[in-house]
Amino acid sequence: MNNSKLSRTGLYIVIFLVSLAVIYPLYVLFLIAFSPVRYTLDARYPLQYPGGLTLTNLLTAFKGFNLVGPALRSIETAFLVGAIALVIGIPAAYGLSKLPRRQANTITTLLFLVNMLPAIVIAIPISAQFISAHLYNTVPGLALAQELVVLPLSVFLLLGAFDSIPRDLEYQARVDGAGLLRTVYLILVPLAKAGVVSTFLLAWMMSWDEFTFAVILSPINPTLPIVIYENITRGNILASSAFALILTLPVVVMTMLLQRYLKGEFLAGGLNG
Amino acid sequence: MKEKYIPFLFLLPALLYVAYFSFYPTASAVYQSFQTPHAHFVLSNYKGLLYFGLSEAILNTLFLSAGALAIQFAVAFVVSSVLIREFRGKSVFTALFVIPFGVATVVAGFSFSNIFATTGGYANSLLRIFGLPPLNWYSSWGMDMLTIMVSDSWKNTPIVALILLAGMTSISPEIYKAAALDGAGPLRRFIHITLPNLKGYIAIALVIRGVSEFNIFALPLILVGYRPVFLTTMTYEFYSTTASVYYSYAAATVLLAFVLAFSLLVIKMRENH
Amino acid sequence: MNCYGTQKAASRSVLAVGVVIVIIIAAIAGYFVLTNLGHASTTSRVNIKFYESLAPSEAAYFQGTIIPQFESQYPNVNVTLVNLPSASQVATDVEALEKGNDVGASLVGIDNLVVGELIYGNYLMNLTPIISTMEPSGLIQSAVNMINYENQVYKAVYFIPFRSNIPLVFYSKTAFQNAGITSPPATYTELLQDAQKLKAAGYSGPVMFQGHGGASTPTELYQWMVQFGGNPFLFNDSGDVEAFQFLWNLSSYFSPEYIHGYWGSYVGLAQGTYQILDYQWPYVYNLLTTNASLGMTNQTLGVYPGPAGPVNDNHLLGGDVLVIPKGVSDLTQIEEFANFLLGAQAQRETLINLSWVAVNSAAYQNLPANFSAVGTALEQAVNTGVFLRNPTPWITQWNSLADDAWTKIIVDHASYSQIQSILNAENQQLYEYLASNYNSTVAQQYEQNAYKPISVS
Repeated sequence: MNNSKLSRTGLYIVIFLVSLAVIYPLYVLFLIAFSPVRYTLDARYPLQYPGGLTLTNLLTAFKGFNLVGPALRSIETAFLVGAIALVIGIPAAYGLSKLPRRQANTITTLLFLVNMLPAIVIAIPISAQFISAHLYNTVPGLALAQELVVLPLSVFLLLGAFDSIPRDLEYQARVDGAGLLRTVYLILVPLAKAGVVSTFLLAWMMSWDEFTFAVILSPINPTLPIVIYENITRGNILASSAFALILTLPVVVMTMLLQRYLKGEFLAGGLNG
Repeated sequence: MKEKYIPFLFLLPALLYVAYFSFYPTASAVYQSFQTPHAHFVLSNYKGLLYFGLSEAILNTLFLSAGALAIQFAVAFVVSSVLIREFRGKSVFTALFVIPFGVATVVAGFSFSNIFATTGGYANSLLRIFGLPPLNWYSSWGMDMLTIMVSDSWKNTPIVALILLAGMTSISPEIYKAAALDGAGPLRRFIHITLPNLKGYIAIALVIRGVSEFNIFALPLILVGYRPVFLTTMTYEFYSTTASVYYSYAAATVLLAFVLAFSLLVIKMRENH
Repeated sequence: MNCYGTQKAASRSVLAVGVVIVIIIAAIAGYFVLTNLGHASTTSRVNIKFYESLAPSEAAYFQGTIIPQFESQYPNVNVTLVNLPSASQVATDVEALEKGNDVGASLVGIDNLVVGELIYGNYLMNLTPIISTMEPSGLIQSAVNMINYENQVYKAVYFIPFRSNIPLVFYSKTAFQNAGITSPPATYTELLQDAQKLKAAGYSGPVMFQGHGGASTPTELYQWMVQFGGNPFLFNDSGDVEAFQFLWNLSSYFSPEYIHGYWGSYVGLAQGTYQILDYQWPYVYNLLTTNASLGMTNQTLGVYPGPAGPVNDNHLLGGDVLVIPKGVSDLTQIEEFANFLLGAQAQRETLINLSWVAVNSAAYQNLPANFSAVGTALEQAVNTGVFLRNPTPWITQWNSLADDAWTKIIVDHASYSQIQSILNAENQQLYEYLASNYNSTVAQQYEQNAYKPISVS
């Protein structure tokens, strides 16, 4: 009994420490954004608690910097990336679900290999191609490039969603006379609704955070992560804290809501076949 | 006959997309790494890179990846051992723990550059509260590496923990009970039961995280700039100074080579088991 | 497995997420509409994009004061400032726009450091035909010399200096008093002695340097090497070697912050992290003295041209030049804007408010009585002598090698006896680079000291 009580205390200590470590960097972001500058950046040893709360930092940042441009840019790109993930991913996942296991696994591995090719290796030659194709510094161009980061995982999630639909339903629809495309888009996709929507949201989130392609392919009209980076390197910490807040809030909310889909089973189980 | 090819037809958009936006630029980058304005197949770009510290970049990248993976797996094992049990507030802790996964890398870089500073900063201010002397978090190569490893692990440990957790839930608790009855202590149970059963999951997490560690880009860029040099920051540094864009292709090719070698290594090891 | 139940719960949380997204988009769209209500764009307005790379305070001043002044004088022209993160990015983007035939109506302000690349790549319009409408009547001597140099070397004019930038040395008067130093160091020997005195008085890392790498470090090294009498491009002539040897000695007194030092480092001077900032661009003077939480004043903050090198006391003339990419539209409006930027009004305002060294001599008339100490320092620096870096297209390669030398000699602290051989190796590298990427003539000219700093005093 003593043993179990000790391990119980140990458990709660670990939980407490890990929770602190998880929150601390976000807490620092909160402090820098909402605490007067003399307690945070202009102080050599900043206060660990809010010396005061003020909106001045945010207001100065919003007044002095173009916030709407990069935010719109990020939003447009993210939506396009999510849409392309579905347009390419749904047929691909359906095709994979029809293939024998071994072939499907090979192709899925190929897609994940794509994910592994370093973004910076691809971004530099692509930027030269995009310039001549008039895609440099455009939303469609950036979305097409960011899709590389997103596609393998999207196909994988959609495959899992399609696999969970009982085969009988599909055969029933085909027997009832529905053509192949109708079956896929009007019957299977609605049944896999949860998977489709979470794929879209995951793709959206990953594009929202994406940095490497954005910094190389869209420098003149940047997305939010690039603006944050630029402001950090120029020493404009307050502005970057304001932008960081805007970048982070939607995603933190979404991550918490999506966390049941990020559980290991979806990621690891499928690959094990 | 037609039925057999239909799945591949559905896969076609995805495969075409991957071929054009991933394989073709990669091949282009490798090809151009052997070019200069005057010659077509020379090694002078690589020789130039060696002069600028390519071997250091390789060593730094390898060391950082190894260290970051070690930290992430160590902490992930601890956290997943916690999450496998039932306790009050488990769902809150799970939701909290996943948040760093959703925070953009740039934002993490922002926070950690304010936490870890050469003089002052939040970490040093914490140390002062506990009566400890402040540290220069960039005072040496080792400190630089440690700072980047810790910042990187904050964001990436959750995904490793989730994968390991998925694996742990698949191990039946009966085995543990039997081993405990036979007199095996917790450490022996971990080494002889948990680890072997998790091999597949560890391999997957290793591949996903390992490749991402080789590609680490935004964090070192924000925290240390171009020194200590990594393969990705070296590529970007030469890309952004237009006089030496061919050097960046060479650096990108070296990075690609390491990523491929690492993936093949892990896949081979998994097959052998 | 309760498929249906899981699906229902999943649908609900997914719906919640969807609602959150819609709310965010509606909020941003609403904000966008509200802030753009006043900007009715008619087709008769010309939209000029002005590409530059400015510090945040400078960009804010441009957008808040300079551009509105121009737009009120020329009501049918709209100017958008495109503020890019670095000078190299400006060059890259101009090249990208040219290659994609997307130039439109653009005026570009680019660091004189990288303009050589654009000239060599043939991306710039020859300004000779229109220079009479662009060039104001009274350019300061260094700007005139620059244009003469262009005519001599390129047989054309591709750029016009529009803001100059001269580095100055900033120091904490309080700290100097505490250490018993009565006046800032006039020579480098005195600088070393003062650093020792400051250290003895308890200031452990008194000297700050722009040591982060990128473009800042090679730029600063360039001036140091010239003041020791060397041609910085060569790396290994006697002046260059002596400069590095001196820095090797001085580095014992560097603040640990120096590895992060760049053109935006100045806060440490107010916080007491370092006591003498050698060097930094003059715009930080206003930032240090007007920021209440930093709390520096004329009494506590000192600024002056800096210690004189063993051979000369000349200063690097950095700063930006105006160029027009080939194939722009609306050239008349672009000329109007360029003329405005070079005119007395704009030049005077940026001189007073941003400490930009004006190229228009009319800007120096009737300066306010309290035109700060920094103005005096700038004048002294200009009068002593200024030089320009030779605008070659391969200067960024030189930057990378200078960075490499800095890392090996100072950051990694190679032994003193290795300094000469490291610099010899850099020289060799640049020679080989020129031979394989340009031609042997350029390489030989380089070795024979053809690319010297351009003296403009």
